[in-house]
This record gives sequence, structure tokens and C-alpha cells, in this order.
Amino acid sequence: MVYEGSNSSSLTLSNSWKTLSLSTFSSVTLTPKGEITNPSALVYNMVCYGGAVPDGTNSAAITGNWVDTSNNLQSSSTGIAYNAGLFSTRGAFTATITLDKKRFSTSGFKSLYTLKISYNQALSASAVFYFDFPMVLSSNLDNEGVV
Amino acid sequence: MVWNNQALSASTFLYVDIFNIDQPKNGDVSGNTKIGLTVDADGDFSSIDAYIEVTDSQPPSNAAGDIIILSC
Repeated sequence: MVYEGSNSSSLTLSNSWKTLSLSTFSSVTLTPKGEITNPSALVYNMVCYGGAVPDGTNSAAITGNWVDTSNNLQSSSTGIAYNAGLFSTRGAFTATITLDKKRFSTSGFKSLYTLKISYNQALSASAVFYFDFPMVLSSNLDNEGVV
Repeated sequence: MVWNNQALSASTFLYVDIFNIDQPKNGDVSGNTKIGLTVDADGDFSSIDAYIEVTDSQPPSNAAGDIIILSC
């Protein structure tokens, strides 16, 4: 939705637009119904719902382009950074795991593993760890071994 | 699967002991295998925050006279 007004505190829903192309969300195209003759006196506020928010490792700025009265493409001088307070971004979550100890590492025994885990961000009380151990099938289950 | 039950600050070291992991015959595995860890940091099942692996150590090969109890 697009709002417009003479200043940012008196915005109303704008009816100045003919089409809105959202075919690719990374490049939204908004076409006005006609020439906007007094753009310097207007403030437009575009609200986009449903946009995916990237994490802190992908924080390319949002930029705007428009066509002026001479059909020249103009660009916003500075982009709007994701980390400018518009979105609450979170840095990439990373974790490390090491095999601290492995007791009773003998074929046929049941081992006791001690795994050491660290991570770079806080975990909530609902965090879950999933451990996957490889499964080795008996050679007797190989269909080439037993008919 | 390990369910957390308290909030933990970043960069805390956790030690997880896991019992009763069967060890295969040395000849049934080719080299060291991997143990995978998947972390869901907030438990909301909406995304996987990290997947990492650690190399397991292969059980040593057995001598001819070793007795191995594979089941009881």
C-alpha cells in the first residue's frame, strides 16, 4: 500500500497509482496514473507486507529509482540499510561441535560420547538439538550376501 | 534429540553425554564416519539455525582372539 501526504504525520492512502508490479519482490515497480507535478511537496510512504527479512549477513540496502520529467532515471542518493532500525535483523547463527571424549570405543560395545558444543548466539529455553549418528547395516542384510 | 529447558547465553560451552551408541565392526565402516548436529535455536520449528558435523572415531580393528558380544 502507498500512502501520501504533505508531511509524514498526515498520510492518507494514495490513489495516484495505476499499477503495482510485484512479480519479483526484489524489484517492485509502481506506475503513477499521471505526472506528479509537485513531488517535492509530497511525502510517499510505501508499506510492503510479507517481505522476507534477510539475516545480518545479507543486508544490502534498499534503493529507489524513478523517472523524472525528462525521462531520465533517477536514483536515491543513499540506500536504506536493513540495519537502520527498519527491520530487526539477526546475525548468522553459527555453532561448533567437537568430539570431546568417546569411551568404550570397541566393536560390539555401546559407546559413551561426550560432545562439546558452542554457539555464537543465545539459545531460548525451547531450543532443540538433533544428533544424527550413522547407521551401519550388517553385511547379512546386503541383498548380494543373502538370497 | 535433546530438548533445552533454560535460556542459555551466547558462547556457552555445552557438554552432552550420549550413552548406548552401538559400535559397528571395524570392517563394516570405511574410515571415520560423521556425527551430525542440527540446532533449532528457538524451538519454533520454523527454521534450522545450524547444521554441523564432527568426525567420529572408527572403532579399532579386532585381534583374532577378541571376544565380541553383539547381543545378549
